[in-house]
Amino acid sequence: MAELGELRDNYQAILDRGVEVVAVSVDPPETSARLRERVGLDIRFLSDPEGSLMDAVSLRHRGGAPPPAVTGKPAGNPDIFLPATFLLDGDGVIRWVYRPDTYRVRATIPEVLAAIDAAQAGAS
Amino acid sequence: MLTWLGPLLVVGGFLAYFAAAMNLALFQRVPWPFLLVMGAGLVLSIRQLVRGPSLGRGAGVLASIAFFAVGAWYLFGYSMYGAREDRPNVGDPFPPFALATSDGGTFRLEDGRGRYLMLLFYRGDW
Repeated sequence: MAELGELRDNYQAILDRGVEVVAVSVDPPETSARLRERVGLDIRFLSDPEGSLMDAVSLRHRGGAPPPAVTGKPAGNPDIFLPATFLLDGDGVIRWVYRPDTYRVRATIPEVLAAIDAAQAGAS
Repeated sequence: MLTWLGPLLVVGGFLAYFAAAMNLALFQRVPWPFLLVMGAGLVLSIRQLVRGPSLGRGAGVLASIAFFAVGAWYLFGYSMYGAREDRPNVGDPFPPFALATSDGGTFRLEDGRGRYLMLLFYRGDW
């Protein structure tokens, strides 16, 4: 979640590179709308409450959702997305993946920008 | 007094890591500074015991070891994924999808065509 604040603070640098960013989670659209407002991040937030994409991209964290007793919210999908970042080119082909081996780690902004620059340099 | 400083450092180092990870977007795979504080607490406990053995100091060492073990287990066991597939990977087409957006619309993979698209998968708003 902290990665969304990082993204907000550096969003212009990504926009300047002509990249559209979308954020994906199992949260229902209303939850994402509140989060989007709170973070103040002007990107699309996509909802995959059933986790239909999880297995297709190998990001299912089985039982990763905190229990309702912890969140104080009704239980949703017990499985959540492992944090990861994909960069696709204009044809929908994957040009970069950041898939860490622990959920404590995310792609940093310098890593993201370097990946975009490398992908675009390779394409042109 | 010094007897419990060791265990306190171990616990404090671990809690400080959590605080930094959540609030400061600290994404270190191996959080060395915090591990050092935790390790220092463990060493301090043992040093106290060696200097003047007592039941209390022995308990301090046991507490430090227990807290350190829990922290290390979380960092390098519990939070790691283990074996996992790496597909799709670079060069593969991204699988098609159509997902609801927070503003009531739908976003499909095709909607991102013609420009670079970054998909950020996150764990959700708790």
